[in-house]
Amino acid sequence: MPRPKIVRETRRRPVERAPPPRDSLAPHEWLSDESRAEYEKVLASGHPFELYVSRHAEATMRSHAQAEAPRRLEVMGFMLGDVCSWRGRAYATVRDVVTTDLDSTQSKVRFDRDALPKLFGGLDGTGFDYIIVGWYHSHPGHTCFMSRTDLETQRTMFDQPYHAALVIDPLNEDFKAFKLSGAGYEEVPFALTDALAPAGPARKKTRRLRAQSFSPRPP
Amino acid sequence: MVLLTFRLKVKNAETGATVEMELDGDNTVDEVIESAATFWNKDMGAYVLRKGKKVLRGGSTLGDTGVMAEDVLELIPDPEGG
Repeated sequence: MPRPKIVRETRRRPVERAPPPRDSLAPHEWLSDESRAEYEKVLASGHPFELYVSRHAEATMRSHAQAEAPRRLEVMGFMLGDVCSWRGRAYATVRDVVTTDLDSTQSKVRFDRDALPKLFGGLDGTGFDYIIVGWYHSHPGHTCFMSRTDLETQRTMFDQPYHAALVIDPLNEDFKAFKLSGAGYEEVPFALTDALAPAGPARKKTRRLRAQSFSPRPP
Repeated sequence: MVLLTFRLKVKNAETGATVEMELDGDNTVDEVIESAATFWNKDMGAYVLRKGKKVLRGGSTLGDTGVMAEDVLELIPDPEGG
């Protein structure tokens, strides 16, 4: 029997779009002094950040991590957004996040195999033509870094220049973004913004999810 | 047995790229994943394929899973954190 034959590829080009305006930006409240200094450096440069995260997405990720923090269970999800370009510089936006039930311990996390349909429903419910621009997960009480497992995941699945990994430590109140760099990884400055909003259906869906499962606390 | 050739699309959720594939109903889901993953230089074991909310299981034939011509399937990463 013949193998499937690929007859054509259609690539999605970065959208040429100005980054979120400066007056919509803020650093994450949990940044360390060093990370905050890197944020200020990018802001002063006038160049775009490599990563912009909507307030909505940040609140959802943080609330998710905090909800399982008392049991010290890791959480995980996808970051959904777009890849853009402005004056020759690429950047990614995170408008929304999705997750599902997890197979989780204090040191490992995966999507529950039986809960993938729920994840897919979340993807379809976003209301926009997303790209998975990265993933988030938590290290409750372990600080923010990329473990060997995390790095393997990043190399295997998130190896594009715009792909980021957000790591959250809800117990130490630490929040960092990382990208691949050579054989390892590096922290990348990112900005929170009010200028990115999820599409309508996603906002309704997320509200319902948060009301059921999370206890969001404003930063 | 007469095998009907048809085309469908597979979208790479990490890049937004799409490939159009020519195949038949006896091809398996694993073969679709392998073709797409190989084309994009990915490890096929790190991905699942979905049609809407349904996970398409590896050894099943496309005929068994109800995949039809012009369907758009999506290759979804299956990450692990630690």
